[in-house]
Amino acid sequence: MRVVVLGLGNSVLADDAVGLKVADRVEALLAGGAPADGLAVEVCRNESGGWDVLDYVEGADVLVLVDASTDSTLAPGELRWYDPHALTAFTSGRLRGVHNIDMFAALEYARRMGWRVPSEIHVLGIGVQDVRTFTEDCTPAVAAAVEPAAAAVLARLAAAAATA
Amino acid sequence: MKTVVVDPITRLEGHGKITLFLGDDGELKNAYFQIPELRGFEKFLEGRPVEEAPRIVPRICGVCPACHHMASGKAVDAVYGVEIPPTAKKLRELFFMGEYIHSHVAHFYALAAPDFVLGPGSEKAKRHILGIVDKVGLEIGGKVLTFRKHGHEIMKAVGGKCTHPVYNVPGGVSRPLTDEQRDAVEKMARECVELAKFSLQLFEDVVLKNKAYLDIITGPAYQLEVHNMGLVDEQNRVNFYDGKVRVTDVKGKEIVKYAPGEYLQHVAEHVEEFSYLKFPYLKKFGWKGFTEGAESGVYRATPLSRLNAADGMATPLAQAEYQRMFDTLGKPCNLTLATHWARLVELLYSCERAVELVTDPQITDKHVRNVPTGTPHEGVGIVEAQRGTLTHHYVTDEKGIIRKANLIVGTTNNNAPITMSIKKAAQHLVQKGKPVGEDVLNMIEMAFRAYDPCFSCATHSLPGHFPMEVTVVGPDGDVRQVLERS
Repeated sequence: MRVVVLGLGNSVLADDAVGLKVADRVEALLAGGAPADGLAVEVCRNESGGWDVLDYVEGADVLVLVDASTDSTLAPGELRWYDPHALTAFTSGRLRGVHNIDMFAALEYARRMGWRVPSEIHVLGIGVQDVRTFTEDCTPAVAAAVEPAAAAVLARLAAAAATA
Repeated sequence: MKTVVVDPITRLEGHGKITLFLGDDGELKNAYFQIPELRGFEKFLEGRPVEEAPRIVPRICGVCPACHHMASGKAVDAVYGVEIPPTAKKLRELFFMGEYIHSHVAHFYALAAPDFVLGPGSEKAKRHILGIVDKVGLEIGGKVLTFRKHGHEIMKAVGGKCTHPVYNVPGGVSRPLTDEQRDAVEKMARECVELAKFSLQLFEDVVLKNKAYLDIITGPAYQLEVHNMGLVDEQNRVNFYDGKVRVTDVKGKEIVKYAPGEYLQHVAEHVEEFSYLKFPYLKKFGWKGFTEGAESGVYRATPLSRLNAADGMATPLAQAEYQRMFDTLGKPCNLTLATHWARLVELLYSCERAVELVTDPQITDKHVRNVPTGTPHEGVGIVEAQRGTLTHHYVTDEKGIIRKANLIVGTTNNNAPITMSIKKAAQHLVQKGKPVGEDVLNMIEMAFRAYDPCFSCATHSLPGHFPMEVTVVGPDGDVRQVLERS
């Protein structure tokens, strides 16, 4: 089973980078021997989202997305696994940015074109405090969430491995 | 007075807001295009080693990272006073063509096509790229995916990665092209030429042969008579990577042609209280407000204006399409929606140019960098971003630490004409006494979507909901009409 762990964000926009930092940590833990038996795990980072996600997930069975979340019900650094079907409800097929149709719309588009894209998607959001300041550092509460977020991703991988 | 606020604008990178001011009887009084975000990237660069700039600036936005990478790389070369090897220049341009391909493909099929393939007044729920597939079929949908992917793969093969490249280094590029990479790129580039030809044929069949669409394109709502800007080579042909900036007037006559280092002699920026984004204008005419015509300082920097400002294209198939477009519409062409056609001509040029570059015998030469030896000081780099002329200007100390940075990004050039285009479209489309419907708002949005605008760096945070709310407020402050879209 091929699994892609994809960290999303902008590396110079404060807490927006947290998904990338979690991807770094997951990669380090896997390299250090964290168990992912039976899975071919690829850890990737992307700073634009939308269409570009297709470049990473073609041929994968499972996608684990990690991203900053501006969900106002989350405290800075708080973790939440989103129901991907609920997120898909936001999808309209229209663009969210100039060249980025919504990521789920991009996945649906590729699926209709016969591409093999992940059928199982996990989405981990991390509450943020500041996603507007140009800095490479996350705010303290969000920086402190990197380790537990990486652990949460590994736990999901372990669960996926158990059902593989 | 009623107020209609379009905030944020759909299909726009970053955050923007349109406000329409209606009189008591419902006619348009005024229109503003506002950028409420404050950019801070120039300050972020200060204090950084200048050789880091080409790796930092692509983070301004995920939409045109290679454009910033290229303009920044050229500015850094100028800061060090170093001439890059001929092969490095060709490789940079080849990499750049990859971005042009995937960017123009995405714009045409995801942004422009919904309005033309499905119709500007078609059902909102289906007016998007998935709706296009439903209408034109899976085969064309598959071609779009392949086309876009080839653009990305060309960038990866040449420069290692596409979204945030680490390819340009002072004096050249970080690696040569192998024979194997060359062969892979050539195969993709040749396929892209065919896909670009197909796209132009699709545009002809779906748009140009449809009288209703042609009437919209040539109608008064989408005309704007301003000057045109674009980078040209020594024969005044369109060039995205290198050359001089040429500006032609509303009749097509050359106003000025300047080298990158001379930009401050010709372009200045006006500030309005309602927007953080400045309004560049031509110094020769001065800022005379949001006015059209020969004496206005307002210019456009778009695919259409690049073609207007040039005498032709440097590749044969694109030149033939260039000629066909202007034979049909006249030159200079002031039809804002013709920008979509011009973008497809540029797409064909990008593909042909990629083939030319990758089949150049010199392209796999190993000498791809001249290590700079001069003392760094000041430099300007200009390229054509997909959405307009992009200028990076750095001043450093003697150790190469950036002390001052100035960026005029593609969309900034078009700030005034976008504002004017929106107002003009609204003047023709908003009718007295009638509520402003979703179809009318979409047609007003079409006026600025043609510019392929991009503002600030959008965050990429979950949950990704990008709501659109249009509010009509009556003279007494009551909300009379709310339109929501997502």
